[in-house]
Amino acid sequence: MAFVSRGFRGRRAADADPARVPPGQYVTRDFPVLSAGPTPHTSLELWDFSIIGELDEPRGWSWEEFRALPSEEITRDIHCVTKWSKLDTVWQGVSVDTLLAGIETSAEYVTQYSDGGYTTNLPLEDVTGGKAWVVFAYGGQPLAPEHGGPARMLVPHLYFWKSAKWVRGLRLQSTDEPGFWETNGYHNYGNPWQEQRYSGD
Amino acid sequence: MLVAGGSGIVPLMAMIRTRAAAGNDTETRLLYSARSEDDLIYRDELEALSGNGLTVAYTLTDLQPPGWTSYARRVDPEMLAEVAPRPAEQPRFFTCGPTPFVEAVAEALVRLGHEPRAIKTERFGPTGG
Repeated sequence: MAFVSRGFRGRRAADADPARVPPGQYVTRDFPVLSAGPTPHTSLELWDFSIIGELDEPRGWSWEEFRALPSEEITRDIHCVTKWSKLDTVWQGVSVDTLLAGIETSAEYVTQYSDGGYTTNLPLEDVTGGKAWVVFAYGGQPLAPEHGGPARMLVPHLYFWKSAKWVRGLRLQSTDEPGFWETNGYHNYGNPWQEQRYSGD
Repeated sequence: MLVAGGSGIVPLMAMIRTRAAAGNDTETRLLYSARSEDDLIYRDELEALSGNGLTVAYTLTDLQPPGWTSYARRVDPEMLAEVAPRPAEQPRFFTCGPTPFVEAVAEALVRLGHEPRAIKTERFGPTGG
């Protein structure tokens, strides 16, 4: 059909190691954009990142302060619940362990919150111990607004809706509070290796 | 208000059909952008469903048939300002189409003063990289 967009059908990468591709996923070389609303545009002068909620003292960083933190290059595979996987994506970002260093908390859960109102929830242990970053660059370039820039979460061991775009902070909580997609029919945890896409999976 | 770019009309048509099947007469406006008349789908059905609160506006961006009097360019803020309800009427928007189309429409609506949370977007197609 003439009006089916390019890229509508995934191209299977024949050389992708099947062990890297979770069940039900196909590998894409493209980088689709999926979000429920308009792309926020927050100026760097107004941007900040906060850790709030159940902790000894809230923390915050301006953009300059955030970019002065130690950052690293991270290469990971990412998996979207809409069935595409992208292998060896390269990011630059600050480990959540760095942001939480020295914090005293009894919280067991964390909610990521973003410009535009998006939220997603996780056990705190899923963003600590080298499993999560706040990233500001993709493929060697500053993260584009459509892909969540100026900064988004990167939590690659779960479906990518658990990596909030346009992230502005983490709220530490003693209770688990389902976020945007979790209250709209998606799985509360989202492990791609167990195909935890929807509630009840 | 529904704003469709090319094959983005498909999910919006599902909404229009559901509304019609339910006998709903909520004011609904569709702005449907396509390259040419040949690329418009559901044309007859949209004509049949017009009225009862549903109005349809087309824009043909590349090729217009003789005598075409409706829009003949890509959706832009001026067109949206003419076709969309005013922000004070608190409309809800659903827009679907290729990613650059949806980005442009959503951004234009926000700039026109519409609440971002009232704009639902469905993007498809590559962005490259």
